[in-house]
Amino acid sequence: MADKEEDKDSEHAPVQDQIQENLRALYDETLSEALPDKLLDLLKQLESQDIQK
Amino acid sequence: MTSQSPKEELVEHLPALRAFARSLARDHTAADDLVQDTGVKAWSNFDKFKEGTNLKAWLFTILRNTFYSTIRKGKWETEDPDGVMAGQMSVKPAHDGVMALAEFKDAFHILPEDQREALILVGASGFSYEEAALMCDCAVGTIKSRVNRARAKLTELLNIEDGESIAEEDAATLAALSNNPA
Repeated sequence: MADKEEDKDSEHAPVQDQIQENLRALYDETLSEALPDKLLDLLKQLESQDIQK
Repeated sequence: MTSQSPKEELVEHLPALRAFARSLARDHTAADDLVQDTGVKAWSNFDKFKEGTNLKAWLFTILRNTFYSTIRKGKWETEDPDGVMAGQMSVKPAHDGVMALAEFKDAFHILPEDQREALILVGASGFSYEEAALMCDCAVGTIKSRVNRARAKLTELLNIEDGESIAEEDAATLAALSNNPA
């Protein structure tokens, strides 16, 4: 079943490659960003709550 | 091999959670709020996480459930109900056939959220169709269909035609060759 999907995709390979590249770029853009302090502070807060328990 | 607890491992998944959140929520602030809520929920439910199973998938599932429950509460607007953004999309890809990332982002956010999440889960986050189906609580065929529909819609929105850039390049090459016989 998966093969059929892949066959379908391969018919449109150049377009799908462009979409795939951009999708990956969109995702990787966020992955490469530094985490905001807000999130790191939250983790510290959760960890300290655990210690206090 | 070091064995980390799920709590220790959580921080490693935060960048991926943010990337997934941004594909669902329309703006970055809402996406970070979503990741924050996911972190708190995960932390208080780690006792329910089965060691040895996929922590990333577990966290992504919490994030998507949080997202949909927030939408149900009417807190966020995520769709483009009036087609405002869709109406503004008439952008041709750059002449070299490579579409600009900004244009792609605009087109991506016009897609319905179920298609956006399927595309990100399978196309960028590295999950299999089967894993995505489990996370979205639907059939594998549904995920495949959402991915195919999303790709077709993006192709339409970005005005990409099959072989367009290649055909143009070929024509240019042929013209150059015919004007410059060896």
